[in-house]
Amino acid sequence: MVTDALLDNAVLQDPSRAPSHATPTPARPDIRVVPPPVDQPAPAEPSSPATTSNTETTPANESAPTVFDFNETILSGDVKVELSDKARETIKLIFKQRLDAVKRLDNSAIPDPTRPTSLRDFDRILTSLGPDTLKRFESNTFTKADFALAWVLITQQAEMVRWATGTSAEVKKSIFRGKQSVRIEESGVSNIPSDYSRTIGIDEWTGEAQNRYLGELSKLQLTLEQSILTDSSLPTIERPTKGLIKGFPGRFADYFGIEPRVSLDLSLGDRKSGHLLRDSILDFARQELRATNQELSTPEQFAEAALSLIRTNPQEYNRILLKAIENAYMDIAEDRVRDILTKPETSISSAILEKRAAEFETPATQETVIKAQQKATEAQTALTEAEAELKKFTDPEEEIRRGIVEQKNKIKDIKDIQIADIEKEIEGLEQRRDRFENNFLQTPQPTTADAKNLAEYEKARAQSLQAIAHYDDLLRQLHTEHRGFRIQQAEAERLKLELEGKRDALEVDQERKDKKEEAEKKLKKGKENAGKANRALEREKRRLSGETTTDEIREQAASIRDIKRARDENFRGRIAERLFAPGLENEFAVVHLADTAELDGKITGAERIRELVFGTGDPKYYQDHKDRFRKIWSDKAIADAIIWIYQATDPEILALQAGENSSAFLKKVLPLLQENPRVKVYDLMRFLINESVKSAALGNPNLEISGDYRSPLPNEAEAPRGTDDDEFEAVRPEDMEIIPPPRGFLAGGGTT
Amino acid sequence: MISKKTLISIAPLKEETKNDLLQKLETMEEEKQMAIVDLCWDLISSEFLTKLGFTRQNMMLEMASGEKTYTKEDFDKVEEDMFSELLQKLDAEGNDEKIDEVRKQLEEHSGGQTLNQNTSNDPTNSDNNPSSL
Repeated sequence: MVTDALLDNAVLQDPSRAPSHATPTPARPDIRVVPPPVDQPAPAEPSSPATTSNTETTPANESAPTVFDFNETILSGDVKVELSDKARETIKLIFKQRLDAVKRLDNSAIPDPTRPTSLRDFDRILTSLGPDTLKRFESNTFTKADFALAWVLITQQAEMVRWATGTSAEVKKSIFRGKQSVRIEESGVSNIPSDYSRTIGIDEWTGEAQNRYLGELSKLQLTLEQSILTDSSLPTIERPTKGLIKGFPGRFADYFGIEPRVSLDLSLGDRKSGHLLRDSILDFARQELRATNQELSTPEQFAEAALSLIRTNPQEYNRILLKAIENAYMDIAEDRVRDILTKPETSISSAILEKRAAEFETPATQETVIKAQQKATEAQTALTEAEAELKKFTDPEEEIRRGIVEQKNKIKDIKDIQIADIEKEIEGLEQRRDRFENNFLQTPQPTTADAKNLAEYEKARAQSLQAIAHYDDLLRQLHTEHRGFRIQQAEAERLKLELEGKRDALEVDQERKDKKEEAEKKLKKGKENAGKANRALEREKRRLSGETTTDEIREQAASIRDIKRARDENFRGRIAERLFAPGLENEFAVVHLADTAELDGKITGAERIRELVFGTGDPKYYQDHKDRFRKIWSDKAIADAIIWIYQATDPEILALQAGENSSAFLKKVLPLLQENPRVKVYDLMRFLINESVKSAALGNPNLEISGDYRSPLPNEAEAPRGTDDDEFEAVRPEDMEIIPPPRGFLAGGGTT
Repeated sequence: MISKKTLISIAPLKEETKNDLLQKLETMEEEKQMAIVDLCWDLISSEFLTKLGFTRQNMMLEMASGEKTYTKEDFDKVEEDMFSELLQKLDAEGNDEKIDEVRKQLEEHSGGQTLNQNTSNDPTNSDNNPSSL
């Protein structure tokens, strides 16, 4: 039954002794267990410790009806419940610690407006019944009702530790059964601080210490259950195989779990838990309760009314709760309908995966190839038409664009080359002409007496004048040409402006823009369809030619269905449930997933990862098809996914990634799982599953993730690298149904 | 095969929403139709299992208070009766193919619970029980 480890558990008795634990708070060395949060409703007068703690009462003869009354009826058998001494000692210890905590809370009634001092409903019950129960545990005369109280106490204790530490996965049920989503409360981010966590410092415990403590509590719960359920006086209904709490069959949760849970939830007042369905149910439940009692307004009153109803008329309480649930479902379903009708799609449906698998299984024939060929031809025709349609918009735009560029080039050419050249030539000619003129002007005219020189002078003068006239002619021609170029430049400027005006007019023509956008979408779709049709044709040809064997086809189809099943299990929260199960004995604890040891050539961590995802639901099936799962998630694919999720940039890792030795690569990156917060491991599982779903929807169940790792930019940190969303969208077959995730259930990053 | 219109008609949705969906169904894109069908099965199975859980818990309460005594068969019969009622609403009575479809959909949309015999799932399964909320 209860293990020795429980009693020996240092964590249970003194959290500060937990391995690697932070130094305990010296001011409160006596505090060993979790006092309840102090923000609970004030205790009702009749059940306050002052009025009840000294009264000799038993659950059966309590004057006011308690939640245990009807449970006592169920439990009133004669069979002696067996419990080991050690288990009894442990229960006593927990009772004492909790009662001490409750007493301390209640004694803190010194007025302090900033700090409510009231007790939880359960603490009030505990104060009333606990001392007697404790005595009976001490004298070994406990009743089954005492067992019930102990069970609830331990359950509460575990729940409070989980909330206070914020390290366990809070498995949230989504509105729709079968599609649970999971919210992970990450350590240090989503924990709910309370006096409890602040005082005792349990939020500083290591994950291992928390796990150990929760694991031991779970074992003790199971012990109590096993003891009670051997009682033949209980209704002979088959035991469920699973329960509300990991490792905990549902029966006791059925009987007792509802009371503290619902009363606590109702005590939230207007505060939202963040769980859409639960919050909605509570809203409707309050409305229903108010319908029977208009005076209800405060959270305390609602909690009291709910408790009272549970005690006095549980059937009526159930009726109210059922109505609230139905209303909540309907309310949220309305939103979902709106989402479906109005919003674009974001995730792949199970139907498309099944369809893809079925496509593999349908035998290929000459007819199917012809049909595929026809589809490919039709898709190609549609693509050509779409291209022509878009060209109606793009061609004029292109023509204008080309015209503008042409005119710009022309302007540049005229200005930078032709005009520049001619101006340079004019300048040169002018200089030469000026030289002639200057030389002539500077040469003194000989006297008439010097006939010879005068004749030469006249001759030179005539030559100079002739040369100057020649240059003047040339310059006139060049200036004419220059003017011509300037005119051409101006004309090009005018044409450019005219084209730019046309371009601007097109850009502001909204109707045209819409039509063009439509044509672009059509073309994109046309490309997708053509690609899909061509791939389908190739597949059919390969199948018909026998290139793809029947076994391979079966494997492909089975793999797609396996991925669908894994996705469904994840929806239901079962993978997270297994991953986050407390205790190192959990075979899927991170330490095991990160195990790099090799066994029969297989890396243990990768095997665990595959088993966690594909073995959840049907472990035997997983064992029988291990090889297939190794193909679906190869070592390389797992390692690549790890790099993406953990954003590894170590050059050595990247070198291994680029290499051929996937085993060495995986061994190098697996330890990252253990070196980072545990919640990241779940991100990794989710990433692998989502990428597989996308890949399977495209007909390839064996995941491949691109190796060209790069650090994601801030705005794409969530985008997968292997089959990037945009990339995926570009190749998504048109028949691929995509549905949005349930509203409000994807806090902290959603998934399919 | 259960028709889409039948599913929408019996799903626990507001009447105006049902009418709106029925009106738009023909022109709706196929993928949206599939999403609506999926939603309807979600809702129908949720309603089925929730009612079943409450009915059984009330039976237990009656046993606890000593009002009545039930056998395991009684607990099973509740489910059989509710399943028959659902088949009737879905116009699936006597049609093996449709009955199989309903059973399969309930299983698929009920968190993978295996329905035994005539749809039965475990009466004390916490997923069917209000306490699981």
